[in-house]
Amino acid sequence: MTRRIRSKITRGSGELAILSLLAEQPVYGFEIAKQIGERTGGALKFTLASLYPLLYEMEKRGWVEGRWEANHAGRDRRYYRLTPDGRKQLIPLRQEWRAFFQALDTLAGVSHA
Amino acid sequence: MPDWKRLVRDRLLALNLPPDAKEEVISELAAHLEDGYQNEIARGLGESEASQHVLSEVQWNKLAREIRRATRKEGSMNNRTRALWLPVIVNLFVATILFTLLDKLDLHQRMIHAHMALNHFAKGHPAAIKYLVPINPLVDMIPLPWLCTLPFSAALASLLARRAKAPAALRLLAGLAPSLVWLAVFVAMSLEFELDGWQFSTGFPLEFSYFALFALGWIVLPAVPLLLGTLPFLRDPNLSRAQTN
Repeated sequence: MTRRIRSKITRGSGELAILSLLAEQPVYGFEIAKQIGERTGGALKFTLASLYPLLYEMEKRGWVEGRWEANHAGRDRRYYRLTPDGRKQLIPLRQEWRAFFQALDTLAGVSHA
Repeated sequence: MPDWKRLVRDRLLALNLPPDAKEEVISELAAHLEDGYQNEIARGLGESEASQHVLSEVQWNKLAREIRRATRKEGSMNNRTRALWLPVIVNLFVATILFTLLDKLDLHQRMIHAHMALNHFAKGHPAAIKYLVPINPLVDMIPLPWLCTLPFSAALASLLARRAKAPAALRLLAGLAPSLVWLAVFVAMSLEFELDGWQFSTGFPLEFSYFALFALGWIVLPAVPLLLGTLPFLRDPNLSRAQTN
């Protein structure tokens, strides 16, 4: 697999993971990385260099918006929430990934591996 | 506890952003590192070990490069330009070129001559005249050959808008651009007539009928082929692909 394809898959899965998480509730950066890591059993792991550039890019596209608010410990954190545009993106993204996995499964029997 | 903001600021000197935006990024990254540090402390690491562990996971050069790339304005064109203004300009340009080309080929004039010939032959047939006469002004004013080419320019515009990930409403706007421009001209002309104290009572039938024909020929009728060209590109390609799977 070339580096470019791998990078696109990583970026695409990251976008879907973040949008899905934010569809539930507004979350700030550290919690996004932590919750995604926990829920995927560590399969999806965000570093500082992979999380924030992705969040800023999604913010630039108008899919998410960040706002400074105090967290449960009273510290200011930048909470990200899904915009209506971001919510619209979630449906085709989910379908695209479902189709991708089905195709891969047909080809390589991934789900039986 | 380390001064996380100072640590981040010192390591991201190369991050070239407007001061306000840079400060916000620094605050956010510092907050992330602080949370990571607190997390490590809660797991039982000492202060020094915790801060070392948190900092060892950050690739500062990559971070600065990726943030710069993510926050950079996209070349000379922003999203709105690519999603709307460029397709609109392409649509207007192609429609104008096609109009000029067809005008050079005299297709519309030939159609008018053919219609006049029909009128001439129909003179002895009142029933035929009854149908031909009412459409005489329409044949004169409405460039039918050009209308037939409009689906292509509309399709090109809406395709460009769709490739720029424009929502369906913007794709529709881009596709209907020539009609909308004429609508704006029509509204401006109406206002001009109004300002000049144009009275419907003076010469009402002539001016009004030409006004109505103008609106029909340049706004309403072109909108139909433009819409036909736009419709196939209003659906989201991802959705339609997923539904066929």
